Amino acid sequence: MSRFDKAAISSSGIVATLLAAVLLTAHPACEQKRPASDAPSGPTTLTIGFGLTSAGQGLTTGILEAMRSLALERLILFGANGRGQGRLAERWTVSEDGRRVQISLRQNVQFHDGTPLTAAVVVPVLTKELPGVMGPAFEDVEGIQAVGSHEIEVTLKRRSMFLIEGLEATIRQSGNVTVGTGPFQVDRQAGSEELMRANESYYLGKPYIDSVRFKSYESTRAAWADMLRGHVDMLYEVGIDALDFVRPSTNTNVFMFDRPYTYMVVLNLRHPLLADAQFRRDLNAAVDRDAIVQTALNGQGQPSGGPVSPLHWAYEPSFPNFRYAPRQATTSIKPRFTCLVFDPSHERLVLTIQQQLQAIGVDMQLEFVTEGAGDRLQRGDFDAYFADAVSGPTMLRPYLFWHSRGNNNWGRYASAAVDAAFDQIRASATDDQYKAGVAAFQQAIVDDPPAIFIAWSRRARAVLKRFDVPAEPGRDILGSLRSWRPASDKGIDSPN
Amino acid sequence: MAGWRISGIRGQFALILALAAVVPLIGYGLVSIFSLRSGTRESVIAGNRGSATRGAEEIRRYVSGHAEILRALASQLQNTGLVQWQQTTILRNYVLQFREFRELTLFDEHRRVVASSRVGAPRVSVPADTPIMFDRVAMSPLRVDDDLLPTSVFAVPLMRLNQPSGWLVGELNLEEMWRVVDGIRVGQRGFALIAAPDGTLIAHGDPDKKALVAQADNISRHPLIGAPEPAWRQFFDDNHLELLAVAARIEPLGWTLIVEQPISEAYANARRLQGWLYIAAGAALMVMVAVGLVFGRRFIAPIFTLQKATQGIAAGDLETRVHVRGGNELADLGRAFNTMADRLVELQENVKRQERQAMFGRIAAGLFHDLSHPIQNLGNSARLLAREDLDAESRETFQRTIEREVAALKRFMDDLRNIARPKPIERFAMDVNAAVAEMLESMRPEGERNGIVVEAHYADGPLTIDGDRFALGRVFRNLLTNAIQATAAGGRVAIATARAGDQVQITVADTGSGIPADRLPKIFDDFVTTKRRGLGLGLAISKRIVEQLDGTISVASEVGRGTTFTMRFPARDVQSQAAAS
Repeated sequence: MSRFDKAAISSSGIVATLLAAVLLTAHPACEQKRPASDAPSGPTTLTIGFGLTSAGQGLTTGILEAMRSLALERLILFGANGRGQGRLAERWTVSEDGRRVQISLRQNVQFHDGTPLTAAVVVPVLTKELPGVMGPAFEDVEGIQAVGSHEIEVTLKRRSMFLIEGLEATIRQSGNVTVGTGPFQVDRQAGSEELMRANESYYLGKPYIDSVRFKSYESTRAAWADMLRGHVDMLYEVGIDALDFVRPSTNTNVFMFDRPYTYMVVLNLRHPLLADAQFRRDLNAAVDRDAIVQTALNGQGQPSGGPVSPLHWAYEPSFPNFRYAPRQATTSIKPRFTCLVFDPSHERLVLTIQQQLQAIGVDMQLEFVTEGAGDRLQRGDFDAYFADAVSGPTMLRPYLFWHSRGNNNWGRYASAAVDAAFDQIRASATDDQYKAGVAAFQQAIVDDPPAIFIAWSRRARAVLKRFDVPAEPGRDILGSLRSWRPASDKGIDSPN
Repeated sequence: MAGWRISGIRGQFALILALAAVVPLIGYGLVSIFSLRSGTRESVIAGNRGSATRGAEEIRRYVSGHAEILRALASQLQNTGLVQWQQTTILRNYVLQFREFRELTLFDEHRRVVASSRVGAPRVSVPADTPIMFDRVAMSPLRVDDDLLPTSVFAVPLMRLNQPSGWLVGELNLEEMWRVVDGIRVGQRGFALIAAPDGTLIAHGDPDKKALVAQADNISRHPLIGAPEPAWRQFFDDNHLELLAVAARIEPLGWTLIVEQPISEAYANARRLQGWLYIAAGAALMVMVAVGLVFGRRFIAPIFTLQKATQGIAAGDLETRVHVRGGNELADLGRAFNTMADRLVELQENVKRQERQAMFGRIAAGLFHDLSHPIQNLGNSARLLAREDLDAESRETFQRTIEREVAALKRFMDDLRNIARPKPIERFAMDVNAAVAEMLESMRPEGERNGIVVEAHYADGPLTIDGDRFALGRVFRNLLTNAIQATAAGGRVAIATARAGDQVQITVADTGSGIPADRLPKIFDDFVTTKRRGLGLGLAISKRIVEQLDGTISVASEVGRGTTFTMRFPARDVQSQAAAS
């Protein structure tokens, strides 16, 4: 019988084994890995691991969005269904003719620097932010005035639903893009880490978590690996490959939610081949979205039939959609174009699309762009580019992409039908009018697609169970970060 | 006491039955448990080893299969005249088809990149270190990639006209292999893990222990790392969890696949069966005890019946018999008991008959002895009185003789009547000294006729007791008569009175032949006498009278020296005081 056998069955062996275990445990070499953050008894820090996408380009849009969502707040917060809910705006009213919008700000709110939130502070912010947020639709705005200490009136040349949706603009202190009214405020940056600390005077109460550390990695896989090492409390995004390994873990919770972001290949209509609407329709018909979701996304997504989020209240499954009906591309020139790829984690996705397009004789070359991506897009220096682009929750987002004068319309897409549909949405006074406009928009896109729409993305976030995370099904858990607390603090009262 | 014995027998019988059942049962149970344990352990080890072996083979096939895929791909790429974009397309198609390859890159003979599945710059290079060979496919030793996770690359040398023309290199996605490892499960809590030859953890099937892979955990201290096959160990891990581990080598990689399962789960079935075995043994024991009690009661019942009958016989109920059924040994015993009881009855009847005959003889002899002398005296005196020549003095003498003998006969008849129907005692205050003096006066002449001095010694003052003068006179007479008859001529008979505390004591002593010690205890019984003749009723009547007067009588005697009877009665003054208080 071996030494281990004896140890297993004799009492002296058990004692010896236990003693050895105690000694080994006490040995510094056997010291347990420290949790990523401090113990719950001290200040609590949540470390969020991010995988960088645009390599070498610093923080991703996702990180910036996350930090903004914690530091900055919006006048109106739109849910995934596109319905608005007052945030810094306690309420808003639209005049009968739709040309005056009265906004009442929430009382007793102050910025991180202590400045009270007043109409006088917000009006210049809105004046500055709204053109970017609304794009050409801002032309409808006639004026923005403070009509009281906490009352703002926006006058319009004509009714505009896009103004209301534009009120999701983040409110920040003038001159400082990171000073807002949110539950956390930007503290400092150190190397690859961003640190935010709890807003002590947050009007809904100080968060339970004292600080949030954003830690960036070369890839989502690297972030996951570091979470396995105990250096990260939360994965901002669980990679598709890692999901099957993270989900069964008993010390980690995985939260899934559908995002109003769509994977798409945006086409540049300057390219002679891509200017052909029929070719663009052929491209859309060549893509087997279900197969892509299953193989490239491991089922973590939803086939996309267009730019309208299926989560949007105005979306109807009966809307015209792109269907998988591959047919050999018939073009007068050799069907070849180059697609820019910015995120290495999208490699499998774009390779799959490339493979499917090859099946109809289209040669979609791939170019991985590490630097100057934004400039190339602005200049229109591309045939196509692959994006995981925001297309919701409001119709204002696709408006910025697909309106002929939209801010993000870098592919020079122009469709009278699409513009007309946007006008219909903008001018709608009722839900029915709005829904009719959305349907018209969807039809116009299907008839004249500006991109190859692939799939709506589904994101998985993972949090160690040492944090209690109040989660609502289908919603991003970051929205409730203020209410997270260390798991051992269940007994303490809410600071609210 | 008898009940305790019965219970004891019953309990012992049940115990014997129980032991008779339990000892083999315990033996069988111990053997069963031992067999169960050893059998289960061997079975579990064999099962887990089978899982480990199958898992190792699965991993080996996983790796070699992908090496084969790479070799097949290499054959497509070499000597086919494909241009770069075609090669790229093929590589990308393979990567999409086989997720196990994170990247596939083609190098020329100068190790420059020709084509790659990567959209960006390739990450792999031709491995320079000593590889493991899978049928012309080289596999690099494990290394840590940019994400600090273990990885490995395959490389297939390409040939053109028997000359090296390049390399096809593929980065193996070991996380995909994790899925295979995750699929190797035993029970609910048994997981597989894979370690490199140096102990580096490559994969772990336990979702909570995958972190160890990312932490570059080294398990070279694991007892199965480096252990010769077939290997298994039972040990406690760092969390004091007892584990059963089996290992299988993955050749030619040199990796070790270990399947670990908590003992509590591995032997759960055996422990459950063991528990049921204990319960079954306990239940069997209880049943056997109950059966033993029931059958024991039925078996022992005849013994109890015999015991009760024996007790009845011992108590004098010679009519007790047992009811006998069946033909076993206990029935024979019952029949023997009944026969014995019948014989006892016969013997008792014989004894009684013999006793009656002896008694009758003794009574006849006594009557003859006691009556012959007076009757003879009466006859002689009567005959002499009938003579004409008899002078007055002689006539008077004969008349007195007749009166005396008639009185003697009357006393004899009184004794007989007292035995048949005792005369009631009538108590009055009487002076013992006076009664003794009166009796002495009566008996002294008879002493003188036998040459014996009869004397009296009186205590001072009156000695009063509550007595029956006539009854006590009979007692004194019996004692004095016996003393005179037991004393040879020249001897002395003395009667003395005394005060002994609160009692009055009368002693009658003689210097006669004495009574043998063995007969002393029975001399006060009816029909017991030391004399050759007589009914032997005197002392029995005397004792009865004394006790009726609340007195006591005792005897002390020594053969050849004489006998002394001592009587004690409560003094009357003491009795009066007691009555007054």
